[in-house]
Order: sequence, then structure tokens, then C-alpha cells
Amino acid sequence: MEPLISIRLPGKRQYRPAERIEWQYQIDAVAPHDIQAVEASILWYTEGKGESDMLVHFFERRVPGTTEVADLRAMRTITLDLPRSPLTYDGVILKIRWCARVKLFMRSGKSFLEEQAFRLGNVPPGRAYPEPGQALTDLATAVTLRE
Amino acid sequence: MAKRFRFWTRKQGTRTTGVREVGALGEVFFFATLLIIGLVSLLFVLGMRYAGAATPLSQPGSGFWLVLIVLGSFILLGGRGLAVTLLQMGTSPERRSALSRQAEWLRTLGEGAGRAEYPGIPDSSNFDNSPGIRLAYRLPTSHSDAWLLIVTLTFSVVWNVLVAVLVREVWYSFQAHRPNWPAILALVPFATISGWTLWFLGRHMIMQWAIGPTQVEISEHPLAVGKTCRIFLAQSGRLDVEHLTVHLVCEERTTYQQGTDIRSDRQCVRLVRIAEYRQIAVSAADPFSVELETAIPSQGMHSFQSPHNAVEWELVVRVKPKRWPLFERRFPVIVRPAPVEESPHGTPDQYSTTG
Repeated sequence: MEPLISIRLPGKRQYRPAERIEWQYQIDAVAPHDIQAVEASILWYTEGKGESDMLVHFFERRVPGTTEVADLRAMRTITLDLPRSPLTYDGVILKIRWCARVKLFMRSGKSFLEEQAFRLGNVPPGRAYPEPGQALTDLATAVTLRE
Repeated sequence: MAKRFRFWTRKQGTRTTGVREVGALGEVFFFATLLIIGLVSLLFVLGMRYAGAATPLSQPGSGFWLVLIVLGSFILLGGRGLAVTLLQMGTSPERRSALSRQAEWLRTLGEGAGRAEYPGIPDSSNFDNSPGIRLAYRLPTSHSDAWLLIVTLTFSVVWNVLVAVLVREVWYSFQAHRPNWPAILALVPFATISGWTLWFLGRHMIMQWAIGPTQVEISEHPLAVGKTCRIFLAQSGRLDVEHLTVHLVCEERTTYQQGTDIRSDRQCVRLVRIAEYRQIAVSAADPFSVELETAIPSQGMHSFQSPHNAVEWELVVRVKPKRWPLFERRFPVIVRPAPVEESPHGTPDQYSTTG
């Protein structure tokens, strides 16, 4: 039987830049002495045509015996301020995703991963240009003063 | 993770269908072999030389130092590869990213708060360190025409020297009444290319002289989504312009590996036409200049930069002179997200944990 990893993000998983959130994770269906380490992170990664890039905003690695609690299965609550950028983006050849991710490393050498996606900001999906007639009708505010 | 061992796997860039651990072990084996071969061979070569044994390498001019360099590169490549692979085997990508972020934070401690405040957005200091005459900042172009001129000039000089040597050879062969036919035959395509390089160079130099620089100044920088800014455009030179347009363009850019090639791709996702002019006469005494105002679309994405992906905003000036081909000059700008209300909680990197 595989271990259970639960992640709980507040609200509707859509947050404003620099918003403070409180999220929790918990591990179950595994004996405490079978756990080698637990890594929790808040990160963004890219998808699309290019190579995938990733950067963590928050990261913690907990190893039994070196943390304040002996049993790493207990619910863990983390409060953090999200960054101002990069915002979640659904582009044409590039997408930026945010997620909370928990990785469980077992003494047997196996590892298990659970993640919950969320949106940072509210940027509409990108569209490919030029489209027929699009360039002519796009908003263009221009005040010209020939000198 | 793959369920079973596969002999054949598919790979696109760093993504692969194979088992990661098997790949890592393969890398360890390869780099360790390289390191051991380098070390053992180096010890053997040095031992033979300083023991006074008569070997081919002990003769003067036998390439002893070349062998040392080759074996040294084996040791360096093998040692570095082995160390990196072993470090990566015991560390998750998230942990490596956290370590690199800490290193980046330490590196940029003295560079101001801009990048720390807006992670993933390029530093704007390279774009707004040049003051303008009419507005606050003068923007640099994304690429300089001077580089194309230097490359063209260098190629033209090298090629024409080559052709001159060939002409000399043909000339002497005729004088000696023994025509060098291979050289004569080679002269035809070489001279054709030579003529083309001279024509291209001359055309490029005349265009540089006639078109002149394009100057773009901006009232504020970095820009922000949904905000307006003023732009000053000046086009100097000696030319009659059929039409001149100014656009604000947002592009997604990516790089990726395809086999052993590194390829890049771009996709325009926002195009705002700021201004268009027709039938303009530009002279040295009366350069074309105009002041414009535009808004960054409130639904647009901000600038973004990561190792293989980017979202870039640029002001694009396109000019079609009469009797000359259209040319384009691009001026990158940094666009930040729309300002948010200040968090009452403090700096964005603060966090606390319980449990």
C-alpha cells in the first residue's frame, strides 16, 4: 500500500501577488520509521515548447531526528507570503504553473510525490498574433505631435 | 517513473522516457571510466619519462606536452562530471533549486531590491542607465547594426585577400606560359562571391549612412501592466520614407534541445500599434521626431525571464524607405505586473511553520 500525502490549500486556489496564505500537508498510511525525509515546497515551473525551468519560492526538508517533532506524519501548517511574480500564465508556447508540492522519501529508496496547483494573479491566456484583422482593431492609443 | 527497464528511450531536451536512476548510473560509469583512464595513463607517462625509460614519448618533438594536455582534460572532465552526477543523484530538483536560489540571493545582495521584489523579471538597470534628452531614459536597441557591418567587413576583407592571391597565381602562370587551369577554374566562383560581398558591403554602408540612428526615449522605466507612458522617437538620416510604424510587441521566447541542436522559437502574443506615418522626408538638418503616448494592455503578461523561457516586451520601429528594403529596430522594455496593495505582513519571503 502506498503512503497517502494530503495537501490543503486555502480558498479557491487563486491568490493575489504578495498575498499571505496558510497551507497544510499531512502524511498517512506509512510507519514513522519508514520515512527517510519529507520535502515540502511552493514553486513555479514552466511548460510548453521550451525546456522546463523551475524555481522554488519556499522549501523545507525534514529528516526524522533533526526536526522539532519525531513523527513527520503529523499535520504541518506553513504560513507564507507569496511573491509578486511570476504570475500564472497560459501562453501559446510557454505556460507558467504554480504548485504546492510534497515529496516523501522512504528508507526503502522509493519516493512519492503529491502536488496541488494554484493560480497566482489573474492574467488571461495568451493568444497568437497576428490574426486576420486583429492588428487593425487592437487597442492603440496614440497621441501624435509632429514637431 | 517507468515500470520496467527499456533498451530504447525517447529524449527531448532533458525530458526522457527512460528510468532516471539507470541513466545516472550510466553517467557515473562513463565519467568514472574517463577519470580512471586519465589518471592511470598520466601516471604511466610521467613514470616512464622520469624513470629514464626509452619510450617514443621521451624523444624531442614527440608530443609529450600534447599528451599531458589530453590526459589532463580527461581527468578534469571525468572528475567534474562524476562530482556533479553524484551530487545530483542524492538531491531532489526542488532542493537544488532552493540552494541555487540562496546562492543567487547572496550574489545579488548588492544589486538593489528590484530583482528580489519581482522574482523572474529581468533586471531593468541595463535599460534605464542612459538618461534621455527629452524624456527620462534613452532605450538601447536589442542588437546593434554595427555588428553586422563588422562581420560583413571582416568576411569581405578575408575573402578578397584570398581572391587576390588566386589572381596573382593565375597571372604568374600565364606569364610563365603554363596556365594553371585548376586555379583559373576556381577563380570564377571565387570572384563571383567576391563581387557579391563587395556589393553587399557597399549597400550596407550606404544604408547606414542614409538611414542614420533611431533614438527612442521613454518617460518612465520599468513599465507596469495597465499604466501609460510617453515615448519620444527620433529618426535621423537622409532618406524619403514611404511609411514608418511604431508597435509595442509582446513575445514568448523559448529555447529547447532537438537532438544535439539548441533551437529557439518565438511567438507574438500581443501587438499594439502605437503610430503610423506615411511619406516623410528625413534630412540631416531636419530629422523626424515625434512624441507619443501608449498604454501597456491591462490584460497583458509581465516580462519574464528564466534559463530557457522568456516573455519579452519591445518597442518596434519599422521603416520602409523609398528604393531601399524595409528595416526594423527593436527597443526592449521591462514590464512589471500591475502594482498591488502593500502587504501588511512585511517582506514577501517571510514564512512560519507549525506542526
